[in-house]
Amino acid sequence: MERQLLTDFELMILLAILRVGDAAYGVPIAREIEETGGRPVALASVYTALGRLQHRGLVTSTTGEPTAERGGRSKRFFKLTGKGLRAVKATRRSLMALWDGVPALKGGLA
Amino acid sequence: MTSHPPRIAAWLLRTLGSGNEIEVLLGDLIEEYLAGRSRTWFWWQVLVAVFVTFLDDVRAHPLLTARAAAVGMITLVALDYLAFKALNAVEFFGHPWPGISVAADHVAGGVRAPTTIMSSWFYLYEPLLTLLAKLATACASAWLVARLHGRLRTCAVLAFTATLVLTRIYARGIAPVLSPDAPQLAFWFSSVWYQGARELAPLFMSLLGGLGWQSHRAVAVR
Repeated sequence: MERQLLTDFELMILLAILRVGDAAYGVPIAREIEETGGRPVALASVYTALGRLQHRGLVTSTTGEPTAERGGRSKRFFKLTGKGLRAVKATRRSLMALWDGVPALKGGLA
Repeated sequence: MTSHPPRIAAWLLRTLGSGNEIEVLLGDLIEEYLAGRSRTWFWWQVLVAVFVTFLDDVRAHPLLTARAAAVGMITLVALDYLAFKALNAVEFFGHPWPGISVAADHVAGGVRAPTTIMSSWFYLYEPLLTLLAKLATACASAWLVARLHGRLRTCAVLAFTATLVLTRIYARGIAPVLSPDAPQLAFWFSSVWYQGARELAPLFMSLLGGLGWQSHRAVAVR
């Protein structure tokens, strides 16, 4: 059976894509993870993970126009698929189920 | 800050990085650099990218990677043996080729080196020719690995290089236990220029292999 749940990094990437919206390419995705997620990230790691997510059908990508500020190179924009959105929700449900009922995490002790 | 991103780093990424996203990634790095990131940041991202894409290839093709390392090491051992035999069969200025153990004694202090071959030319040429032979065998092995692994040539040669470096480190670690001559050999192998050249040769070949592949791909795209 295909793996449905996401790793923490995959989850952060998918959430970052959702937060950034239509302009989601490598730089803003990495920046969102760094600034909001509080995790330093290498751009290559983002693209490697995005490649795996695309292979699993959780994201799709489109190529933009080449621009001068990128040395004449194009951007690759990413978007979640329906399957990707379901995977995010399923992972959230699993994490919340694990989270709930842990005494050490109640009342702000964590 | 200069307006141009580090050219060598960009070249390194295009040469040693793998995957379909390298050009897109390079565009992102240039965009961030021009927006104010430092050269150190750019270089760090490139080195991480080479490492990450290499690991990704290894994960995707573990058997091919293992085969590349094995082919490279077997070829290297065979070629080293042949080169050693060939050098031993040659006489230089009337003296038989002494092999690496004599050179090791020279470097270690010449305690057991035969006095008949202690001439100055021998000090220079024997280690130099031995080194050249080692470089040639390492380059040839890496070239064969690159030729046998087509699209995965960069990953294959990097895997061979990593295996070579790891075996060298391992061999140096256990050398004193294995042989009474080991202290001299360890001294010889620890000379920085020799060891560095010996280990960098396959990496150099991987750069050449990568360059060849890049130009091949550029022609195919055009």
